[in-house]
Amino acid sequence: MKIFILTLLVFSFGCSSQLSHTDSSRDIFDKIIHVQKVATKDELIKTFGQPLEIKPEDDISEEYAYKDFSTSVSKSSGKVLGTSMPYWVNFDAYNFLKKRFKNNKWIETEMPGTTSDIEEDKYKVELPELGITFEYDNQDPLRRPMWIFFN
Amino acid sequence: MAFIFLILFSSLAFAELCGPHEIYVREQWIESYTKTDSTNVRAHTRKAHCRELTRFNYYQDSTTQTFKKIKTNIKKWKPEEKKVVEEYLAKLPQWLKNYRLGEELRGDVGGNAHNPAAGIPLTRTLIVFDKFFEAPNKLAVLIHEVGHLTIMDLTNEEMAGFAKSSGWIIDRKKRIKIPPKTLIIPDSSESVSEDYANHIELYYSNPTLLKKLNPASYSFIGGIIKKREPK
Repeated sequence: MKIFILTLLVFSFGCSSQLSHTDSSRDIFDKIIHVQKVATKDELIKTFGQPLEIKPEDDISEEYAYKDFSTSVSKSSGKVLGTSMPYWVNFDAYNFLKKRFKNNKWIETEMPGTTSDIEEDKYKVELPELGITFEYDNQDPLRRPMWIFFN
Repeated sequence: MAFIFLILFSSLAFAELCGPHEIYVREQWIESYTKTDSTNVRAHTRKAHCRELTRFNYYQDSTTQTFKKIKTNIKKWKPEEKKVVEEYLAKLPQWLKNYRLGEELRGDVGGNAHNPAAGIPLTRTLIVFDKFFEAPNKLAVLIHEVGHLTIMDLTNEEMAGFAKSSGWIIDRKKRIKIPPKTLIIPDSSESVSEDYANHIELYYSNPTLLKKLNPASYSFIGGIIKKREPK
């Protein structure tokens, strides 16, 4: 049994060491933030591949829809204008995001309630260095942003 | 290798939300303390977990809870009032009935004078106001309030899919959510959560109207309900 556990540990250590030297160590947040910084359609496709669908959005932009997020791209210049990612996850999202971005400036502002028949305790979070914003409701046990915006 | 990872991380990959009869307790930092038997307990992180609601549908005449947005005076239940609420709770569709309520409180007026009831998602509390007893649509009111609780258990795909089917537009340039052009009930514009609870309510109280107003969201919400109804 001990040998089996040791083997598992060696395997997982070996694998994680290998991953840390590859692109796979970057999570989806790193990748979206990178694309937003470069802000070109080419970089979006280079990083995430071809979108599942390209949909007309308005007069100036198109939506590049991926499995986990969507990006608005300028029709004329190919510039990336913004990204949104639904984040209705099954864990405490606030706790995760707070730890994930512990080294970044985190600005939290209380928001007025919008709904009269349900108790709300809403906050807006901004990470200005990374261009991330989202809202969460402290009344949601999992404190999830419905969408995270990057731009 | 993939098999080993599947074994190692299967509990994470297939983690599920708490059941409708449970409350999610967030991860919390516990300061060091001494037990009554003099055992010293070091400060530690208590992991997030689901706690079963052992006491539910519990009529309370007062509460230790404080509300930030809902302004009301909590008062004593009259026996006949409890009877009316019980009667309508018993008529809820089975999947909504599974959502146990932690507390049921009686308030006078709930901010908006026309408000018949309100919900507190974090503690699964229902507050019933005076207006409820005059309302002709008591079952619809309760379906709406319990409906608010059920959005918590949607998957990411269901939440985003519902918003899209209802007509919410995600403006990535302005970083805002724009409400649907056609609202099934006027206050649907307040939030995706309000719109969702309105959909659940209308699906049961007037499905023909919902289908007429928005066939796409009628079909989507019907799919969500069918998945959750007991077979």
